[in-house]
Amino acid sequence: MKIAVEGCAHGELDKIYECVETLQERENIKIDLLICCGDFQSVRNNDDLRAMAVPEKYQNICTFYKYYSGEKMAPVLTIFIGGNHEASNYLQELPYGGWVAPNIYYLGRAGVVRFGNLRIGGLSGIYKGHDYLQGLWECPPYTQSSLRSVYHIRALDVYRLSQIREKVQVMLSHDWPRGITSYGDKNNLLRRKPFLREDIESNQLGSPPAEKLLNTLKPQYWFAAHLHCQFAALVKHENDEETKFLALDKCLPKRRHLQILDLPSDYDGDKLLKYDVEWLAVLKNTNHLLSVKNINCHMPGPGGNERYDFTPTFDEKQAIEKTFEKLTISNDMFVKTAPIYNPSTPKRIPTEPINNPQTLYLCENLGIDDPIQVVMARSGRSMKTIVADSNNVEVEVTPIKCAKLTLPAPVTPSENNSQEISQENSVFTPENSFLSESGNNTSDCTTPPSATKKIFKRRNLALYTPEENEQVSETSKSPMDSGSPRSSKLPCRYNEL
Amino acid sequence: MSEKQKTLVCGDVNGNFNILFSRVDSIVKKSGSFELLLCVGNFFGSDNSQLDAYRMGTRKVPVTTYVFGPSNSEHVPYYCDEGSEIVPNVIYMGRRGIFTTSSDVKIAYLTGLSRRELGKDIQNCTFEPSDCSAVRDACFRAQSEYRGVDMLITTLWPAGIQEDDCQKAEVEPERLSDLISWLSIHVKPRYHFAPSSEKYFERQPYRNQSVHQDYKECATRFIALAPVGNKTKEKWIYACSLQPITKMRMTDLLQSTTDETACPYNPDLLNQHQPGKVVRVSGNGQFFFNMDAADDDHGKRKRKGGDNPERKRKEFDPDTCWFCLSSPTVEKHLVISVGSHCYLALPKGPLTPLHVLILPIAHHQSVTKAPDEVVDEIDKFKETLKKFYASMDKLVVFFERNYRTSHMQIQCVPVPPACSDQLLEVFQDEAGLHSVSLEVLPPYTRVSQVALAGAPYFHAELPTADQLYVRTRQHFPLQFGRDVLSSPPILNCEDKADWRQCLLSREEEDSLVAVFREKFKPFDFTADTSDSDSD
Repeated sequence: MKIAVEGCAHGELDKIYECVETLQERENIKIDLLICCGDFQSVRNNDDLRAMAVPEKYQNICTFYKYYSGEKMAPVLTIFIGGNHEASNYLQELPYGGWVAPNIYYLGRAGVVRFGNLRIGGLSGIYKGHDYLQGLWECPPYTQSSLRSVYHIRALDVYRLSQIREKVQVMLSHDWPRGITSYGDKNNLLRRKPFLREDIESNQLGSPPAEKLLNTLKPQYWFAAHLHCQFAALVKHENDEETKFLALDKCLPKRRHLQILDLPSDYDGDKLLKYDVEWLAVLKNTNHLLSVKNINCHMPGPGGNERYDFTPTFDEKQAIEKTFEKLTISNDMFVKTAPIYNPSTPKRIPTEPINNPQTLYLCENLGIDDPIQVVMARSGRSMKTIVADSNNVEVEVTPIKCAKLTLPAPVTPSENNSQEISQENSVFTPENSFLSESGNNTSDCTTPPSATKKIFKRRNLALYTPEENEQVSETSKSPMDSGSPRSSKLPCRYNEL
Repeated sequence: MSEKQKTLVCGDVNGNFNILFSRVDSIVKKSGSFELLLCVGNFFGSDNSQLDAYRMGTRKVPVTTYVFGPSNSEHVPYYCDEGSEIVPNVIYMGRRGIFTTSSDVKIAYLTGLSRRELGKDIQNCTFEPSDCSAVRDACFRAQSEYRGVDMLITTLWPAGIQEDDCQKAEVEPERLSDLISWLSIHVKPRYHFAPSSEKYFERQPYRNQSVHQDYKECATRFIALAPVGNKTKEKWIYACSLQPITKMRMTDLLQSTTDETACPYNPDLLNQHQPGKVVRVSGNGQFFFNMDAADDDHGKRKRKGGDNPERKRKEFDPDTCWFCLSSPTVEKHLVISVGSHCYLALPKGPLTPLHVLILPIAHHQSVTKAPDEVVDEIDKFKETLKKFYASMDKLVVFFERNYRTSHMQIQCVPVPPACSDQLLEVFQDEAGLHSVSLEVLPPYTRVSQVALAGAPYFHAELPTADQLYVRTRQHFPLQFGRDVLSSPPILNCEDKADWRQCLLSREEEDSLVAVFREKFKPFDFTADTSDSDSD
């Protein structure tokens, strides 16, 4: 089994997949899985940009939206965790993980999944001490402070991961485990990043909970990103086990942002993505510890009179296997819960949390709570529910993208067929993805049917004035784009550190 | 283990055991076995002869029956010891407490009448305000996210419950208690059962409110059951199937029903830490909580905690530090015992003659910043001191203030065992006076897990192993710990709250140190550092 591991993605999915494909050709290998260690930027539309904690000038749509809308399909199964630059409103829909686009799976706030026989665990977000013990109180609309605290690691998620006893082979975190620098070539790192010296010397660099998890879970591999530099380390545990640590750079030319991991064929199995029984049982066992209050709350431990060991028993795991007939996480669970990208819509602040059917499914079956649903219920607000099989209301608002795929497209919001189209598009066949790539962009606009003038204008504007708006050009030019020099378009050059 | 627990609840039995148990028998025959039967009212009556058959074993109690404390002094002699059986399969649970059944259902109870509201004490039949807070504390203990309990059982009704738009309950005014309202609003039961003298009463569920953020909490159903076998055929037994609150989804607990109402109690009760401040108003015979009572001594405290001379942050100079053992300014005559990383010393102006400090030998500002070996030795000193004080029948409170502190000092103050129940409340009250937000940490936590290294805090460790933690802000009262411990319920030496007001002469200090050293000698592990520590 071959796995590609990527550092921070920063929305550059086109480039990453291109790299993966080039590698496959050059080395004549087949990559089964791509793992991304955060800052994925799963931005679906302009509204999502406002839920990302970056200055306005960096609010760039990048390329994820194509994979969400169906214009493109991820060529390899992709798993990612959240970092500190994310469409937090979207990730909050999937606290226990789920598909953010076909073939692209978010691991959740914390999570463990199986790929074949390989167990992959991850912890989303970055560590900030002052928020660590807080409940999961954030929900859209975000304030300036909750926009940031929403991606800070919480004790509950770490506590859940620490209950895992069965071996996890690969662990992911966005920020580095604290103290990891002393297991690698620290001096070399300091030469490249001298500004880290003070933090490293005071042992303040990195995340203490990740350090704790590294020492308790003792995975074979631990991948991280965040600091935008490559760094390798080897941690020898007390029981002679080893963890190979690797931090990767972000996706830029001449940077070490991609690593191929070759694992023995024992792990191959069926090479399907599956829920992990032990993890689901931990989620079920610890559901009552969920707090959504913005006060400190403490996880149970020895000394209290409550249960504090939530490692699932045999019976508890059996009960999970009974409730879930099939553990495979199949792509058809993916549901669009927000309109697809339309460059001309204003960037509005996302106001309403959305009940994602994927989360709903997991919560109903496990009997656990969706944190954001609890926030809403506690404050007496209601949530927007998306029903998977009925017509999407959102499509009426911005039908542009769906329409374009199936040609010829412009659709008035009032027309019924727009809804049908959107449904067709949720099934991805090679045909229609091929269509979108080969379909000449101009052709689909030269024959605008009886659409209203307004929409026609908008589409024209979007397609024929590429110099006006870079984001717009990307929507249509992507197939040709691949030949252009990569470094010319790197909109996400910010760095929190 | 089934997910749900089938429970039966009945009202006043008043000695009608045959009616009760034959009815239970027929219910069991009809709808399967029940795990328990709870008797929320008087179990005994004026004639208890029917019980003999059960005692002798000629008749059997069909379902394990739990009986709670008496509210009539005539019944007191019939009760046995707490936790033991009155007759086979009938267990007396005592007057207050909380128990968790095998299926994780939590049942809290406080029975009897209110001494304060009744105006007189009936031996074994009345409860105190402190009983209310004891039940609440037992419910809250070591719960990171408190959701509520499954059941609350009381003899009295919470005042306010009788007010309802749709139906008015007929209840004798002496059956209503503000203290029970206080308890109910704090522990948030899903079911609240009480006995009724005549009529069955089930109130529409009301929604509990959280102290935080105006959040909603679970809903409470109040049910008052009529006496067993009453003539008017009022409902006296209630069957329910309960899923324990910890196993439920919060989303389901928050699901509102159509007939739900707002909380009928005074919302101010929720912010009241102690239920004790009840004052009777003669006008309408109502009770109310005197919210201003705390202000009586507010002015005085303020003055004490006020401006302090150590105004500006000093640069650290090891030579002028009062506590670095290497510093020339350290008052060596106060030192009692020296370990390898820490030492024990008498404080200036001790609260009691046995009040001591644990100090690191080198300069460390706080426990959170100290290296592991220092923290380990502090723990060792603490354990030793606990044993030492225990030998004199004293408990010990440790506290540390890392706020405008240069050198870490852990204060160790012995307190009489009698006041240990009140410690937490007095701390909470004092915190309330200063609008300081006090967190209760579970017994096993360490400060370093909660406080960021270098962040200011106040931390106290109580004899119950509960730990108190305050993230100190500006104007945190510097004498907070001493204020609390010197207050009348604890050491009753308020004149000593400020250490500068009670400085001792050199001779007095010398003699105190000598006495302490002598008494401490058998416990002192630093004496035998040469061989491996044997404590």
